[in-house]
Amino acid sequence: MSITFKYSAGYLVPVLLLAILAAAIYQGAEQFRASTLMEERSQQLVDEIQGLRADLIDDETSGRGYVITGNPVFLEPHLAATTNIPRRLITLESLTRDNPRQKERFQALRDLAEARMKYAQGVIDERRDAGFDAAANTVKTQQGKHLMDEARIIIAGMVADEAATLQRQHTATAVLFAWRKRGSIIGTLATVAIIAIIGIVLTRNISRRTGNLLNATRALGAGDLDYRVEPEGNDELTDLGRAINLMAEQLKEHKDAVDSFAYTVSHDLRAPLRAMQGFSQALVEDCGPQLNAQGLDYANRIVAATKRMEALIQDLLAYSRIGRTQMEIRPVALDAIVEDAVSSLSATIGDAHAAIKIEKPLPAVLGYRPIVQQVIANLITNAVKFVKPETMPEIRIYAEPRGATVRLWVEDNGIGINPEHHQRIFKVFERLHGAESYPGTGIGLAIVRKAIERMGGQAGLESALGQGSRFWIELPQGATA
Amino acid sequence: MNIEHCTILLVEDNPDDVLLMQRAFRKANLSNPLQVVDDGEKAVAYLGGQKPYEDRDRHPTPVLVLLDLKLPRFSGLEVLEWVRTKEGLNRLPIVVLTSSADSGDVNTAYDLGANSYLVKPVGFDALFDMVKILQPYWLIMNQKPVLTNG
Repeated sequence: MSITFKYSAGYLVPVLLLAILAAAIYQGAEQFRASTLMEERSQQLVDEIQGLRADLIDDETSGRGYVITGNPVFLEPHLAATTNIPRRLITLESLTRDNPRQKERFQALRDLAEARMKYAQGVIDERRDAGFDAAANTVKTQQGKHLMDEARIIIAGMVADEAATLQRQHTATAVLFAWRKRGSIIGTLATVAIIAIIGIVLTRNISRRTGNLLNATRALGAGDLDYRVEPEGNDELTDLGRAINLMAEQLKEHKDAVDSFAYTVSHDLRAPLRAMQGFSQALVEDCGPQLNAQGLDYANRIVAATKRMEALIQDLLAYSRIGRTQMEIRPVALDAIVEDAVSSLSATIGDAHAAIKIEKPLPAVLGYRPIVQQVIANLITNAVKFVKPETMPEIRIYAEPRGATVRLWVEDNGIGINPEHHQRIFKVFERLHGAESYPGTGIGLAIVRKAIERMGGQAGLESALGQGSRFWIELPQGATA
Repeated sequence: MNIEHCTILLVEDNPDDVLLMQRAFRKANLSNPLQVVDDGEKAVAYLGGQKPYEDRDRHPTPVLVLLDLKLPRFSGLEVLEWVRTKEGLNRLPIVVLTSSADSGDVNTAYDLGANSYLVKPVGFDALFDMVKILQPYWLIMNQKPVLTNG
């Protein structure tokens, strides 16, 4: 599952939940509206039935008045009811359409109402055409009263039924509304919680695993080439972990090749060198009497050359070791390191009658102690070596805090270096002087720069020809302990 | 000095180094017989008393082995391992004498039971100095263990 997929899913799930929540809220509002409409309809039904009842009563009363008096003025309510009742029946028909029980009652009511209207019209016509007695006789049959009584019963039933429906509807709406409200609150909270959980889980997972990868690259960078990333999951980070492992594998192969090369240099190249040196010396010692001065000079030159070659191999090994050593970077006190470097060079310093002044206290830096000491020893060796003949070397060692870093200066009164050579001298085998005047392998400063850069620092110098040199190394500041 | 108790076995494949070592012994006036074998297999055969080294009068069990690490057939480390597991020989003082100052080799040699680890010096004077220290230390000052199958 790729990270893209995980994150897309992580976003999509909450979006989907929000959509569902919105739909549920919308649907709730719709239901609420529908139930309100139904309530209105019920109310309207009740009103119309009550109106119909009033019209029927008006019609009956009006007819009775006319029968008794014969005065047409009593017919006015009858005329109104005659127009009202059919209109109300049409309205009621549509209002009862969806309720089978009410619809059945309505149909009975309609028949009764129409019969009642017909009866009323008949009595009125009789009174007008045949006189009071004929109409009174018809009334006496109580046919109109019966119709009216039946209508009253049906109307009462319909009103009661609708009232019950209204009540039920009301309760249901209240319950529904309460549930919807609770649902939307819970739904919102749940969505927020799910978004938070997905976010935390995804971020934690990615952050922990990138942390692991970072640790791996740091460990590999520090030279621990056996460090491997534990394979985990199946996404881009897993691929990155595999790629890092593959890279480490390659690095280890290269390192092994370099190691075996260094072994070859130290073992196999030295064997013939030992023989050359041993036998040239044996030649001088055992066969000296048979050699003339020239022969002796040649033999001594062979001895000297083998000594230079031995120094060269030593320095090359030291240089290659700088690249291979696993450096444990920790705070180290420059005071102690400089002192150790000076005492390790006591023979060289004594031979040259050099005066070394250390401006204590020196601060602590972050570095790998044995390598820092070697670097400082190399700088002191150069400072002692590169002086004009007959000059006593004077060396001053002091530190300069530069914010997060510390610069250690090694200042001499030596022959100085033309600025155009300042970059060259830090490269391997770069030398400015012949072996006759200043012997050396041309590796000392290359070791200085490579070692300091591997520890995350810089090295450089300030110098001009004939004015002495000020070499510096700069390393991250160590904890002041 | 009893010859049976002062023989040194040099395991060294480089004839130049053998010659220089013999010269150093000669110059230091050391009378110890220096037996030389030039590969790991011969070293094992010599120490085990197998042919052609079965005659202990001519090839006595040494009191000290100077062992190179880089050897044909068996490496010095393999010889060391064999000696340390071989009953009767396991206490034999063995000084590794090699050109490798590789810390891995040094540690492995000590892990396998080397008594000392020396790097072959470049320069005859240095070799001469080393031999002058080596002989009195290991053959005179050092208390020798009992080797049961002498």
